[in-house]
Amino acid sequence: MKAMLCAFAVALVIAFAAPSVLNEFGWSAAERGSSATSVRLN
Amino acid sequence: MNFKAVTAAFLLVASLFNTSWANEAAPVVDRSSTGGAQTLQDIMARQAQLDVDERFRSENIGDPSRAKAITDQLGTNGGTSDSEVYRAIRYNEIEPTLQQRGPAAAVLIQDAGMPWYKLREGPMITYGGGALLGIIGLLILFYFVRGRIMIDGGPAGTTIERFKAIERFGHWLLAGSFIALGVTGLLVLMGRKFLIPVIGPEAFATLAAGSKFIHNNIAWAFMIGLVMTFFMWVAHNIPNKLDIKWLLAGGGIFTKSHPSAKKFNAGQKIIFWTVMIMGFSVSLSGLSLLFPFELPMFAKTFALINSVAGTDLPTVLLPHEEMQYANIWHSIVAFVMMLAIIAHIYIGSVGMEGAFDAMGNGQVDLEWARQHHDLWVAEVEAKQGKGGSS
Amino acid sequence: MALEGQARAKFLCDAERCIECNACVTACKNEHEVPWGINRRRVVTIEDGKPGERSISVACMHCSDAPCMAVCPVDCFYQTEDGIVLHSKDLCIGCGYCFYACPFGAPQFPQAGNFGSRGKMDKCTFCAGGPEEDNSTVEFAKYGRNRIAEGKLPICAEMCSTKALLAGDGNEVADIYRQRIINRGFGSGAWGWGTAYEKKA
Repeated sequence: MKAMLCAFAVALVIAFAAPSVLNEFGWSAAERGSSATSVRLN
Repeated sequence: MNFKAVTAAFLLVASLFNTSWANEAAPVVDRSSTGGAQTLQDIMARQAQLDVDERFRSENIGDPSRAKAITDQLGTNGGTSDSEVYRAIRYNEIEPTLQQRGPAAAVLIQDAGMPWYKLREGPMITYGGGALLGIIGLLILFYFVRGRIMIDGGPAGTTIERFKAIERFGHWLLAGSFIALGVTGLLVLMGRKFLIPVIGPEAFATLAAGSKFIHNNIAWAFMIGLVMTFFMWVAHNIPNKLDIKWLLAGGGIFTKSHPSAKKFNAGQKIIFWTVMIMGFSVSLSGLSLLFPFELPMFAKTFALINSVAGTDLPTVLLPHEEMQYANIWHSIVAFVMMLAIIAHIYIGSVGMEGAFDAMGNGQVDLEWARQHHDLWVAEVEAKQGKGGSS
Repeated sequence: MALEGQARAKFLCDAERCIECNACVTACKNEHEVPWGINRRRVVTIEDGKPGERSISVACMHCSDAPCMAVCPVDCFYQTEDGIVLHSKDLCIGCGYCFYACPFGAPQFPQAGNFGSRGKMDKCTFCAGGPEEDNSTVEFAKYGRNRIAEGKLPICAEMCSTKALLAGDGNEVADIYRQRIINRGFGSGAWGWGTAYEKKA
């Protein structure tokens, strides 16, 4: 039972951490400002 | 147990391997009366959802070298006639240039969108949903006919360790993710049809937005769980002759016999490989959907199938078509997996006394183990005799 | 408060006149303050640099029976009485299916990819705004300018340097184009061009 609850918790942690991790690799939903390779005027 | 699911998937897949979504061919038409243009017969064939051979239009896109030269008396400005240009646009036989960039910006017209939509709204929901209801009905029927599979002579009262904590963790990571993915996936597919009339568009939009977030992000947990369980259990799931005997005895499910099995019986091995192969496929198509236009896989897959099976599947696909195929395949595989897993959940909970403990706390009743996995118990006891672990 | 009478809103781009100046693209982006990387309208050139070069400006075609409207899982599209196809960004979940269904690639999404949570779908509105109150600040922020409510026509067509792009009541647009075809009678716009001038192999 403990293993099951632990696994469910880990699944949720992975789910909520995934967007931030992907952000680091460039696959992101976030608003992006100017960077070395692209310029934005907002 | 899974054969019904496999057959259903095969039939759906077979109808998929036809770019016109498996319509029958229209009768051949004589177009001399219209000088090569589409005739009333063609339109009637289209209205009847028959497959019209488009080449009389798609190949009629002109050839600039055939035009009278600019310098000729009554010469042209070159190129092709307007109708030929537009036919080329219609069938995407153009080589465009443009200032705007984007993965699909160069496509002026793609006509695969409506067939894709119709497939989703029609057969996908009807047959997919119907199959889910069907398997649930079948299991209810099975329960009333066969009843719960009890431990002959009652439980022993002593237990033996079947799954270590890490094994259970891996299983539940996979299982919990799968349920969340399945439910959220069904919400997005069927919600508009069944839920909006009930809860209204605003509430459903919130639910759908949440479902999309959960689906896209729990997918990672699913993939991690899949890899974990594969490496933990693949050695125990290699098929062997014992499995044939087990299958011939029907697993003892109706004969009330107890064919021998090791850690995993043939039924479980079928589930394992179904989940692994289909889980891998659903993950790949899911990744393609998650990163649109960045992971096109169908053109290459079709080329591979053509070289192996000698078929004539399209090997050049528009970006939109790749995404549409990914979406449809993802749904089909997901439905087949859901059918298998519903049966798996049944037998692992309600269907069999003593089964849930294996994943619940890892300790199973010894008598249950002797009746269903006798050779595994023997192996464990032999190792324990030598002082090892399972 | 839109087009007159029984009008249905339509675009027509006269490929014979389009010079690929992209004024329509720029006007649209400017008027609606369209976010970076999104282009509600685009110009596609065929046979660039060769005889028979054509350019076409394409955005949303405002289909009578729009596939985008049909496929949307949250049913966020609607059609005005003029036939303009609009959608609600409040209901949109950014799944991208409208893009897969659209024959013309009209729906656009922020970022290079299609996916929302990366943002809501954005597309040509025929300069008719969205479900918010006409000409309100909120409507402008979400959907851009509402020129139709002011009795004007889409800015892309207004801005077109050669009047290649026409927008408005489908009947009137078709009429203008018909006049042009009749008046032309030359080049590849001529009727029977293919039969008269093409050497059969």
